[in-house]
Amino acid sequence: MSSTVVEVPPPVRILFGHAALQVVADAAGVDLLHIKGPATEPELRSPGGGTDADVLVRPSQCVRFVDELSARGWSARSTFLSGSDVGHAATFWHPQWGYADVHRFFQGISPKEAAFDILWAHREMTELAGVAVAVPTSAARHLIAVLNALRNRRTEEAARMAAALQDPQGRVTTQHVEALVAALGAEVGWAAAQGRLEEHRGAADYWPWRATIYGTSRMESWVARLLSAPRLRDKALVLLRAPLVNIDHLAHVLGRRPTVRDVVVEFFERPRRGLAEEWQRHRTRTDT
Amino acid sequence: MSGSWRPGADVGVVHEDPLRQGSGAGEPTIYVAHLPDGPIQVLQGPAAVIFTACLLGEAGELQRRVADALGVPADDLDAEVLAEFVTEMEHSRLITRAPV
Repeated sequence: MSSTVVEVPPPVRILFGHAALQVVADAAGVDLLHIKGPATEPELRSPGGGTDADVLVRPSQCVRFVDELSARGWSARSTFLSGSDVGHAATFWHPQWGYADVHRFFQGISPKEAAFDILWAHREMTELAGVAVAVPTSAARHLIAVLNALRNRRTEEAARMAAALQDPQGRVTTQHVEALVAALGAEVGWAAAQGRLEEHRGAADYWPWRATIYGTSRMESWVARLLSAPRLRDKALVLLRAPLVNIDHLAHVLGRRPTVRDVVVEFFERPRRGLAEEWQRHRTRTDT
Repeated sequence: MSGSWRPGADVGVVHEDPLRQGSGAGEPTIYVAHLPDGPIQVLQGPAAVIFTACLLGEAGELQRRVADALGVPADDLDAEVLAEFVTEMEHSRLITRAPV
């Protein structure tokens, strides 16, 4: 047969990635919502095109899904704990499908099962690479696009997308999205996208968003995590994890698996860099 | 031949729009893969046309559909080669006979 195994264009590979993730989820009985990239409207996609397949997994089924992915040839490139400051996603890689970002919640939306329930209850169906997949509603896709732009510090784009929803003749309007915002616990991120973050200064999500949008130092990032941790136990865990080396990140920086010596060096280097950053910021402030 | 075909039960399909590749009205390309393990295979030109034609109607009319898509008289197509290619796609489970 005149078919060959070839290097395929990234958009094609990403489509197959979504489809492969769905087949794994179906086999495991896991609820999966496909987000961003080809799972959403072209005008809501990240500029420059995506590099991976993004999915949101039902939080209570996350462990099962990750186990299934490992059994089907996907390898973890970052864990939920090391992947980001808020622990919302982990990155996996497959030799055929490339990268996938598995979200157990989306930053700015409540991590609780109830939030997923709402998204799931109103899901829409579409096809990616010929496989039936579930996607959030159009209003939820707009909200996710706004929050995603914000967490990537594309604040002007987030504001523009939020403002575009004010057209009452639009297919999706501010009213549609705001009906979801409260139910999904997304008030702080939604307000931040419209330049109203300071109105939520006392909220648990305030500091993580502030650090995401404006934060420039790792010290500020850790302080944000500490302030937003809801319980004393969570705050203690943040403090315990603070000096730990992010092995996944270090491997990425080094371009290889870190040795024990690399980890030891990094363990002492990180606090020094944090203090150096703070000193640099202090000097910049006093110089101006 | 009678009946028709559909993609194999575990087969993912991506139709590439040649215009998006900046190649003008280039030859059709279809990517297919068994899911969830792969690999991805590419069907180009006549192979892509035959794959698509298989999914679009009765098997008895396949030669005519392929000829129409390629812009050649049906008699110019080698029926044996066409049948061999279809059989190979069936054996590799890229397409399967749809129940009548």
